[in-house]
Amino acid sequence: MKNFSFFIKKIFLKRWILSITLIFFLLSANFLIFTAVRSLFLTRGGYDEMSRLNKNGIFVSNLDPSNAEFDVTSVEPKRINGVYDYIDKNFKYALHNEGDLITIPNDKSMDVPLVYMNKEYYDLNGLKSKVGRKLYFDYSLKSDKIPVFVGAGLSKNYPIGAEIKTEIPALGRKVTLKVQGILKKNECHANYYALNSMSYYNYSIIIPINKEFFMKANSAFKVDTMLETIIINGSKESVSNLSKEIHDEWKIKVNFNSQKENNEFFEDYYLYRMRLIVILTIIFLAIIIGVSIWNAVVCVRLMKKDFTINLLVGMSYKELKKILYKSFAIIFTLNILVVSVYSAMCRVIAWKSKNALVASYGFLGLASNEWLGVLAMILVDSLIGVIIVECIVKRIKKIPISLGVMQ
Amino acid sequence: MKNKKEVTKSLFRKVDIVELGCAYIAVFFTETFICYMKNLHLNLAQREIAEQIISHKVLIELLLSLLVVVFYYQFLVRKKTEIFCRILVGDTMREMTVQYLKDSMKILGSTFLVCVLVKFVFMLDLRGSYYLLCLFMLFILISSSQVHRYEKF
Repeated sequence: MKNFSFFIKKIFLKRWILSITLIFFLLSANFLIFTAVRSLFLTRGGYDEMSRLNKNGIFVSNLDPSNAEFDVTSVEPKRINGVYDYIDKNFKYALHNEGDLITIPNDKSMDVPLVYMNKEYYDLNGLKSKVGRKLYFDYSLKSDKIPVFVGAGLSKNYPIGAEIKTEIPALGRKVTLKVQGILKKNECHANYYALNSMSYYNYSIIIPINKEFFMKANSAFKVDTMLETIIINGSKESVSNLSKEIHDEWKIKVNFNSQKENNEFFEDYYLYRMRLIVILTIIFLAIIIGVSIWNAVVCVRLMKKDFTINLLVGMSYKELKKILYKSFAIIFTLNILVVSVYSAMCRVIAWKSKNALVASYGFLGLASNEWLGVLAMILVDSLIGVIIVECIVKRIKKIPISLGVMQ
Repeated sequence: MKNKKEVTKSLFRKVDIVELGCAYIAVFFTETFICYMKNLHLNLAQREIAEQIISHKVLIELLLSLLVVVFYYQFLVRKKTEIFCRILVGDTMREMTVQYLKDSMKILGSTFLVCVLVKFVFMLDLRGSYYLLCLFMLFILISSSQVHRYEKF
């Protein structure tokens, strides 16, 4: 311990600019690994969710980029129902819509997002409640209360059986929702085009939609929902007819992507993205390790005298190695702590921002994929530590004692 | 003959010039490459990752510019004896500092010119390189004030 504190005070801190630079480089390596692992797992989550749609007969609708500025309120109500009747008559289809927010009392005073889905989407999505019963869709708006699932965060205020009287933007009137089940913590939905961010359902309400609900909903909601329809039992011909029907009625172009096109999308996007993350991380990591080794070698170059004098008065190479490993272990532990605390702080800020879609739970502030990131940091740090320490010791062994002392 | 005299007057050896040149090139070219990425036609996955790198541009550049700080620091510490010996044989502190400034600026100037030329060829925004140039000039000025520290052994 005495040797160690001597080493830190007289050698490590003597050239503090070099030590701090080394700490910064190693910190950036840790951030890189942590972010890469987290991105990889989020991408993997998105891939798993999308692969449920990768089946024969499934066509995902997509507004053509040429109609990007299409106004959902511009379509006449009777023309909307025409398209809906056509879809309802000819296809099995999944509907899903999220974006509406309501204000109901809850422990974190969050605005609560509403997630609408029909039975087909619910079956496709595999959304399960942790406690409670299955969601049912054959309710009547007039006589029944709407059965809903609530996110884990709302379970304190709204346990199973609780009733929520609120105005639903899609219907434009007050209805009574009855809690049927509570979702498990961190239930989420991947954003298909921004995989680094997930929409968490911790403070959301899942509302089942049936034909009656859909027919009574306002026009903007109907158009918006239909633009993201997933056709489950389509063929190339039938969806092209549907596309034509939508074009005739609404004067916009909607594309329906087939399984083959989805496959290409998977290859081009998800798998390619995962490969890209791995390759770039390895390249950046190699650069950071190279620069850190250069920094360590510079350190040895400047402190030849200190090292050789210490070796001359009794410090062995073995002991020097032990001290070096100890000091790197301290640096890496501090770095891992900094990265973990930073990540936990981001989660706290997400909660404080009252944005329900980004509020997620974690053990000691970190979600499960982030704990994997911490594990990856420990593994890679051990590797970097061994490489740098061995380089330093090899370099020191090369210095002739007489030259070192004379300098 | 004049050239030979100048080389011997300089504190920089060939290895130092190469090492410092590499540090400058690493920073300038990383900045150039990040600028170039903005103009590339990338697919969705590449664009997302490129955006992440672009958003951390300043941080990456500052981290890499630490290489230059480390170089100057270790360079002056190593040259301690040489500076003292030069004073013993009649060189003056002022001359040495001016020579040091001249040499540093030459190395910085030449790497900067190469970088500007590359940016000019690819029609990229030059602002980032100017900021870096100012930052490095500041480093050189600060480090030149350190030369005096080694006047006494």
